[in-house]
Parts: sequence; C-alpha cells; structure tokens
Amino acid sequence: MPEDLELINRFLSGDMEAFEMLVKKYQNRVINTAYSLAGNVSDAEDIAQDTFLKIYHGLDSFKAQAKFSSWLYRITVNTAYDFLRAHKNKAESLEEADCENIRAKENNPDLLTRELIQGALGEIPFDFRSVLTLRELNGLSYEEISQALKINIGTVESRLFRARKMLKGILTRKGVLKNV
Amino acid sequence: MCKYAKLLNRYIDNELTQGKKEFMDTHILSCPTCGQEMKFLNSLRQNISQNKIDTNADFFLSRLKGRIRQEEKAENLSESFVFDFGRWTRKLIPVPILASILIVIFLNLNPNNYTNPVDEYLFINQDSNVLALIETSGRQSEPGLLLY
Repeated sequence: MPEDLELINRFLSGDMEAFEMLVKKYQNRVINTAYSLAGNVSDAEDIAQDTFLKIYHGLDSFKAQAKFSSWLYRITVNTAYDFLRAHKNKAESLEEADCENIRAKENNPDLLTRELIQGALGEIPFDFRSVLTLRELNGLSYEEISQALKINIGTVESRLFRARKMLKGILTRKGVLKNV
Repeated sequence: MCKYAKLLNRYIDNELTQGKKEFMDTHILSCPTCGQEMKFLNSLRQNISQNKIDTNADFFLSRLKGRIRQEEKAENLSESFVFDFGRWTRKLIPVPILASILIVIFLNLNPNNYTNPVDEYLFINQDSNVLALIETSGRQSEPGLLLY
C-alpha cells in the first residue's frame, strides 16, 4: 500500500483510485472510532460516510506537515460531535440499551460486558470519550492525540485520567465492575 | 486512592521515562490499590479495543462513491442553470436598448415638432372658414401665404 502522501498527491492529480485506496486503508479505523463515540452501528456508518466526504472535498487543503491520520481522526471526531449534537433527541437511553443487550447477550458474558462498557462510554462527556477512544481503540500516543485534537498534552493526560475514573464509577454503580 | 494514581495512567499508556517506569514496576507489586487499578485499566483497554463492528467494506465504498456522484451531479445542474440564465440574459440585453431607440424615434416623429410651413400653416389655422375658402377657391396655398 503506497504511503498516504503519495495517494493524496495522486488523488489531487485526478486519480480517483488513489482516494478509494485511502478509504479502504482507513475505513475500519474511522467506522470503529465513530462507533465508540456514537454507540450504534447505523450512526457510526453515517458518521464515517460524512467524514470521508469531507476528506474528499477538503484534501486540497491538507497541509503535508501534519500526519494524514491525525487530520483524519480530527475530522472523524468533529463529524461525530456535530452528528450527535444534531441527533441528540433520538439517542437511546443507557437503560434501554442495557435491557436490550442483556436480553440479546445473556449467554455471552464477555460480549455483555463489552456492550455495557460501550453504554457507559456514552455517559461520559464527549471530550473525555474522544480522548479515551483514540488512546484505547486506536493506540495513539499522547503526542498524537494532542496533534489530532489540537489540545495540550497535559489536557490529554487529564481527560484520560478523568474518563477512566468516571467509567470506573459508572461500571461500579451498574454492578459491571466485578466482570471487568 | 494512591498518590501515584496519575502516574499509573502514564505508566499503562507507556508515557513514562525509563526511570519512572522502573519505579512503577516495583511500586505496583507492593501497592494493592495500584495493583487493583492496573487490573481495571488493563481490562477496560481490552474491552474497548475489542468492541469493534464488522462492516461490508465494498458496500461502504460503493455507497460513498454513490454519494460523491450525486453531489457532483447536483453541482453540475446548479452550474448549468447559472450558465443558461447568464446566456439568455446576454441574448436579451439588446432588446431594451432597441426599445429605447424606437421610443426616441417615435417621440421625434410627434406632430408638435412638424416643420413643413404649409402644413404648419394649415394646422395653425384650423378655422373652418379658412379651410373652406381654400377648398372653394381652388387655390393652393403657398408657403407663408396667409388667407383671411
């Protein structure tokens, strides 16, 4: 797979196939990041589609000094934020999600725990959730998260610490922590 | 909570210097609170990192390409409308100019501005007696001749 910069230059020269290669390379990461932020598959796919559309239209403004992946993650997080704000009225409550998940997955404790953790993620503030997702799901370093979200490294560390603390509190309250 | 709790976060994220990392390696073994916290953080990481969804990659790409095509089509239609509108506007520009010229010509043909002295004479002297005299005498009026 060619390097990102090579694909970008080829796309800007009119090579649509280069853009498709970029999509194939990053779509799983974008979709799963969106899923972690949004909490459901349908919204995650919509967010991912919107993200790649923005990439398609905005690649000519991408500055090659930064890593493409950092830029991509920033757009993903911002798109997810805008999407969730626009659709906040139709978001399921954690209680509804819990009941559904328990009924569907009561024979699979690992899957159940995972779903409950995903539900708990939905309860913490978006800023904390995005930092935790980039760290735990995508394995970004503090420096990379700082570049992606345009925040200080100290802020990254602080949000991670508070996100984990909040999650622990929520999971303890819901009785999930013994399985974690 | 142990006073090294924040350090523990950096430790699990591999963001410590070598010296501090070695310190925490030892500390965790002797601190039950940090040991328990490490267990929770590791498990949390495992659960989040494994909570991924399966999507149909080909369908995703095909849907994306469809949306790009739709957007470009809509853009072309909009540009075409603007172009056609401009083209027709340019064609119609001479019409008001021509109309203005015709109006000016028409106004210049107004009888108030007629300069033939005979007709002007007749027009001025619309007295019916004078007109009748002209007719019965058979005389043709000459320019400047006044008949009373």
